[in-house]
Amino acid sequence: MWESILGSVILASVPVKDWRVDAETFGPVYPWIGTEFWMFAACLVFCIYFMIWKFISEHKKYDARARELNSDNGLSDALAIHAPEDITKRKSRETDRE
Amino acid sequence: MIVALQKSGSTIDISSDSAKLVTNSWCRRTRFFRLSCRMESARPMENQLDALQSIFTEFYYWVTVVIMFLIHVGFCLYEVGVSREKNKLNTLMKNAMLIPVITFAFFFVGWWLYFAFQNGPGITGGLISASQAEPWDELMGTHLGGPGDVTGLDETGAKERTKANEGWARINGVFWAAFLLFSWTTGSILSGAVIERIRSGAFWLLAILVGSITWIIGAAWGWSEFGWMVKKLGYHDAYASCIVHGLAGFSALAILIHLGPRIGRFREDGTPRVIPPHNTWMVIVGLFIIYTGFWGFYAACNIPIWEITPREGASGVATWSATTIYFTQTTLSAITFNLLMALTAGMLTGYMISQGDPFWTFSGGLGGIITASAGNDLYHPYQAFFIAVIGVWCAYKLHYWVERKFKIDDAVGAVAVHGYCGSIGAVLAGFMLWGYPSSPHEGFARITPWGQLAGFLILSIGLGFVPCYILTGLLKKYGILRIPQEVELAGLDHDLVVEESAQKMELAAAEREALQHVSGA
Repeated sequence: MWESILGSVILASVPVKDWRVDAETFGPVYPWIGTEFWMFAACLVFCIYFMIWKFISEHKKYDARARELNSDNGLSDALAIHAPEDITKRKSRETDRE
Repeated sequence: MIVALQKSGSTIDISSDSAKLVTNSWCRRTRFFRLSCRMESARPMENQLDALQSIFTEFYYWVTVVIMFLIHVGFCLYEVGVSREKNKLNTLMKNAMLIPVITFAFFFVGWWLYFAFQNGPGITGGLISASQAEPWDELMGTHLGGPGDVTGLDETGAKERTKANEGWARINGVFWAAFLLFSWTTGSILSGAVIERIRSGAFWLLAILVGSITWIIGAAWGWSEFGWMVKKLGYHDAYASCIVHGLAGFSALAILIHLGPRIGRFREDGTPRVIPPHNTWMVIVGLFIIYTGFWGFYAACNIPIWEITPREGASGVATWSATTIYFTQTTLSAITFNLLMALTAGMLTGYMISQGDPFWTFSGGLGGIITASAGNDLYHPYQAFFIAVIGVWCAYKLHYWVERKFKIDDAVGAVAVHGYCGSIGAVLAGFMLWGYPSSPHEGFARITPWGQLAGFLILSIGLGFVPCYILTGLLKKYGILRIPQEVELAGLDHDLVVEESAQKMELAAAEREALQHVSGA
């Protein structure tokens, strides 16, 4: 019963019943014509949610990371990873080895 | 009356007795395509021409969108290359994600603004109805153009219909996409300037403001057939010197003022330090790809094929031509000459003024094109050349003056290349094209230096600088503009770097273990 009810609802929304008619009679051909506004509203809500989620999650992430970096030697360790090696020191090390 | 249609040297005569004006809803929806209300002939030849024009236009914009996509690829490469190793992935994601963010906003509101705001509203008229651009309209979806209005019955008794929405059904998506790609470009211009210290959420909000609201309002006003700036000021900016570049460049400047420089960018005495790019090749290849994308950008600024109908005082000959967005005639040949000569002049000037610095040589090429763009539909190539020289020279000098004077850290020179070059180009066009009609329509102001200067003030300052300055100020006030200092020092990709080095160490240990087994065997 549910299958037939659902089927009839979906079929009722199909705008193309037959492709073998005059081409000029075809307008919109996507399913669920008439629900455009509600689809727009749903899409808008999703996109606004995305932006809010981004602001909140980013705020939490940076707060946590800043706390972590401020603890112990977090920041100096982090800077050490990216600090370029001093070429003059490297050369002097190489000379010592020789 | 005979309407002569000249094409490829041959002339086809079409009797206007057999023609009728199509009063279809496509034409009624917006004035933008009112010229497209064709003299519809019963002869199949004209119908085929109509079909060819429609499908060619559809395909033309579709191709320009593909080429313009390269601009974004180039911007991503460029910015990632300029950023430091510790920030490269964050820089990539910040720019790449403006694609979906600007796209949804442009679908929801930007496209409608372009048509609805051409009168201001309130300057030359009210809000214009633009139902085909409303985000819930049927024409913003898969649409085959029908059914048209019934106009009567033919000899066999069958209903005759107008072509209804055929035009918008074919053109809406590709035309929307062409404008959308300009929107991404505006967002990308901001993106490069603010790397390595802005929060992505704040940046995307600013990108929505510029990419889906302010630039498109500027385009409605000064880059449309009936825009009020074209009517009243005679504003002319055929390839968007100021409408895209000037506006976005000054938006970037406003953001940079609130955002501040990267840590360590300036010495205590105020002189700037160089922050070297982590990959110079990516920077250069990125700029080359942006050049490539500019071919699509230029082509997308044109209407590819348009029937230029006889006007009052003309001999009554109709012809077909490419036109600018103002429906004034130009050719792809003309803009090809001018684009390449402006690129040449920009690269030469950039190279010369910077003593061969690659960054300024390639940026100079881009700046040269952007400066000459406002009038590249009409300039002689030598004129485009010298305008580009002036633009790049001024942008270079202004960049360093502003940097030292106001401690502005523009990581990629976006304000100079886009903001200064675009604005200078729009104003110079006023002198070069002084007295030209701005439009084929009667009653529109002619091009003047003061019209162009007013255009710069409205677009770059009014729509570019001011809204971004206000929004960035608010974001700063609520502490959601800039990343914490510790995170900036450690690098935005710090977690990833630590994780990667742990993975590498684990792999190296596994390999050493495997080597012992091999040696033992």
